[in-house]
Amino acid sequence: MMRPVMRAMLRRSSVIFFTALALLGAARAAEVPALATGDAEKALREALKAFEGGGLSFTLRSQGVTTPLYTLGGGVPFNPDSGSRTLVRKGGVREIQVNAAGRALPLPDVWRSEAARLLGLEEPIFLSGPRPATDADRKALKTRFFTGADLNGDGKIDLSDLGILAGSYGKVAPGQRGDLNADGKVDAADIKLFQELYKFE
Amino acid sequence: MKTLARAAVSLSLLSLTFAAQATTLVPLTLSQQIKKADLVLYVRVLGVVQENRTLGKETLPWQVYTLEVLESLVGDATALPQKEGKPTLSVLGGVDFTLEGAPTLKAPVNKDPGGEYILMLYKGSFDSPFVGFNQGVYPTLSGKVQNYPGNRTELGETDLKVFKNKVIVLRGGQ
Repeated sequence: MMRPVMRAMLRRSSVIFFTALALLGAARAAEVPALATGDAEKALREALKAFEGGGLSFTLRSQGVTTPLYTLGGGVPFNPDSGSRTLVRKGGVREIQVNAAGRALPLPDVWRSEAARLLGLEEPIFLSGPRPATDADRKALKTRFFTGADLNGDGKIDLSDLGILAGSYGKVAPGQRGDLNADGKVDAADIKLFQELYKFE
Repeated sequence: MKTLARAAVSLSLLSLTFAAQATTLVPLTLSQQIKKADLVLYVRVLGVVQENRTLGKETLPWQVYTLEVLESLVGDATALPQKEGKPTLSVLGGVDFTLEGAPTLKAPVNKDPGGEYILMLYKGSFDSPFVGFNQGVYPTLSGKVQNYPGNRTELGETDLKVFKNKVIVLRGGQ
């Protein structure tokens, strides 16, 4: 006859085992808060798709979102050498306008570049050629969307993760590294969460 | 100790500020910039004012710089909009409205004179009139040419005279 203590231990082990199994095989549809309509929405969705893979997919969420806003074209003529520009309006609303008439850069590459930024990938402002989604991008995204406060994905939550959080602190944009509560901004709430998860060694 | 360390970390985080950059640009070499420019001017900034302009349904602020042309290297500065006989150039942005990554030129303040620059410009009216959006802006100081902060265009020789000669040679005296 099994003792109650042993039964409890077995039950606990089973829970851990099956939870781990579920996490390993989990697919995640990450919500990306952003506003876009018409052709801009279509292009942005298409660009986000390029970064999917390894069980990770992205959906745009516009409900309750005021920024960033994506548009195709804009009233003021674009500089001929720019593929996109960001206007920051009163109240901090960011409007990313993609140069619809631009000849300098292929539009799908500009959209992929913007999608990469939206997902919180480090993206240089200069785009010298095609911008495909790379394995490194997917790895970074998997790290970001699957590992909670372990921001560098090294298996522990430590000061190097805090450094990453610090690098994003104050940023208001979806997909930022360090946006632990996924509310589209890296702020005191994320630090509080980090403090709860952080273990001094 | 732990609490102190955590508080210190939190405080240092709160004081951090970051410059966001979300513009997509074609990287241009110096030679490409020179060849693309309608105008290459060596200028001193005389002043800047904000002007609101209406385009369609929207009124937006612009920074309008008045320039003293020290030397026209390519093109004729009279092709630019004039204000009281001086050429001007306009960059989109102002109070409560920012065009990320757009260059800011140093205007005179009290006895501090305005900045001197080599500017590579398009004649048309754009959000930013500089070749490469912000790449064609080269501050000059003590006879040397520098990149605009954040830019890394390979300049080669930075001596102002040599730089100006390079522009003239590349454009064949246009």
